[in-house]
Amino acid sequence: MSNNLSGTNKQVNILFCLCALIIVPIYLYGIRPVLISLVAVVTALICDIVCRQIFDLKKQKMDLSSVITALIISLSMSASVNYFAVVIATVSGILIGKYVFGGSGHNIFNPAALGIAVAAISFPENVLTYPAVGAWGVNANLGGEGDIIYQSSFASILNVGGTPKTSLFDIALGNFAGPMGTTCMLVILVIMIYLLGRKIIPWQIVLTSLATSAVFAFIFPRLSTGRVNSVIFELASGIMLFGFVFLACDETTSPKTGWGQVFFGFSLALATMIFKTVGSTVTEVEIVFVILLVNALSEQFDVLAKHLTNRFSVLRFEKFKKGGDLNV
Amino acid sequence: MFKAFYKRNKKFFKKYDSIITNNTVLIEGLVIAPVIVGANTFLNGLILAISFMVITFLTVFISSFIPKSIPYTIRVIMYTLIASLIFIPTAIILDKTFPEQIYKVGIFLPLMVTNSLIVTKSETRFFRESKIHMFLDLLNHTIGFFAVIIIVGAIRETLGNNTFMGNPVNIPFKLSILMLPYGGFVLVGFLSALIHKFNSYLKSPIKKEE
Repeated sequence: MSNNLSGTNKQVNILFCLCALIIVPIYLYGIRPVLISLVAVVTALICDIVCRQIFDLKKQKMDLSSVITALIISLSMSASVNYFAVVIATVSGILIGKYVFGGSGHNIFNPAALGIAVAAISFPENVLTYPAVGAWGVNANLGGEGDIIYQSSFASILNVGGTPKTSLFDIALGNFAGPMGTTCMLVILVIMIYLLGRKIIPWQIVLTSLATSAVFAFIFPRLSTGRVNSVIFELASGIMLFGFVFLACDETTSPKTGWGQVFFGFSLALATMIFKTVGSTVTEVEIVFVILLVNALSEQFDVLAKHLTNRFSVLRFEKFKKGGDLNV
Repeated sequence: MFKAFYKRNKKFFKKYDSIITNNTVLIEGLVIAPVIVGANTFLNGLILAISFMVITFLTVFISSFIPKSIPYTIRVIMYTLIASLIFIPTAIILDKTFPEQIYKVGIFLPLMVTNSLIVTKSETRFFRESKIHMFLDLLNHTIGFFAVIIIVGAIRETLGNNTFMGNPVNIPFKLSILMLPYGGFVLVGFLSALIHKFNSYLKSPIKKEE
């Protein structure tokens, strides 16, 4: 297995995983997730063509970053979201998150996180309300209108001190109300293991953020049915796990050094859990706001890592460098 | 054709460059905070624009008579004190003209007292000119700021709140994010990019067909 996959190869793998993730919402909500994803992808491609003209940038060969951004945005949306909100999210993410900073590879902030944040603030009643699983196809049409039955998501239930009444089996299969592509924990975990195994996403960010959020949820549970349940529900709420795998691990906006990635993952998870515990407004997608914040600090995490490894030689392990082997 | 006309009369246009081509907010990057945070409605923008014009113009004009023999540090403090004195009647008049409205601009109205045109630009630019040129330059700077802040306020209120001067506007979508400072930053950024593009067009060589 190659340790050094090319950039395009990595993008193809991530795209493949995102396409695999769309299958679950199709089963749960019908054909609408496909339409939402298509709208996002077409908007992203049009944005690419227009922005390259405006900003006078050359087309990069096999650059799938805009398509990946579009799919991440669409999978983080509600199945009942307005197409207009999806378009605004995609345009904001790609135009402001990517091209304003100079195009692919030059952006400071994760474009998908920015797009989701813009949509969540601009259209909260549309983006942050989730239809009950299975009720969609019966009562609503593909345009997003009709008699939709909405259900509270895990994040909103936990926010008011309640306990979601969902079995572990349903959580694993995504059979509960939430963002359409981020609820199926089993598929996301399998994708996470696949991407970690192929060294496409850095294990330092993923494992550190998972561990930090799990420990926080264990120590400070927001529900009364046990600490283990707290960990499961917190990780299954909103777009936590999905965000750790697809948003936080963006190669351009995350730190480059091993220890920098550890600090990044730790800060991301800690801030997200604090936002969840004390925040009250945007309960589903607080991770995107934290990602935007820690993206701005990515370079500083690398500087901190460099200082620490220079000062403390015990930290200077080869395995903690980007792309290094786990085994000593 | 306009480019040729501009290049022929460049000296004339340079006197008025602070309105568009060297705009106070969009090119010089001065007094950005009230535009981005304070001007989220047209009325807020109008109040801040009027207060900026009156306070800055009168303060710089009066401060130009302060003798240069006084140390720089003391002079700047005196400029701010003069601005504070001018702020009081300005705020009272604005409160009477726009009742219940000036509290909505928050701290940005009193902050006009320490804006960079009074504190910095007066020493580096205005006081080095003759009184007539200083008068004209000040006017251009304040007009430039006025134009930007009311445009930004109007766009943000119309698209972000679907109202204009408090009256509902029939627009099929509403981008609430424009009412937040993020929306202000993005809008000012794009307006600044537009002016930079216009400046590049003016500076580019004239093609034979033009």
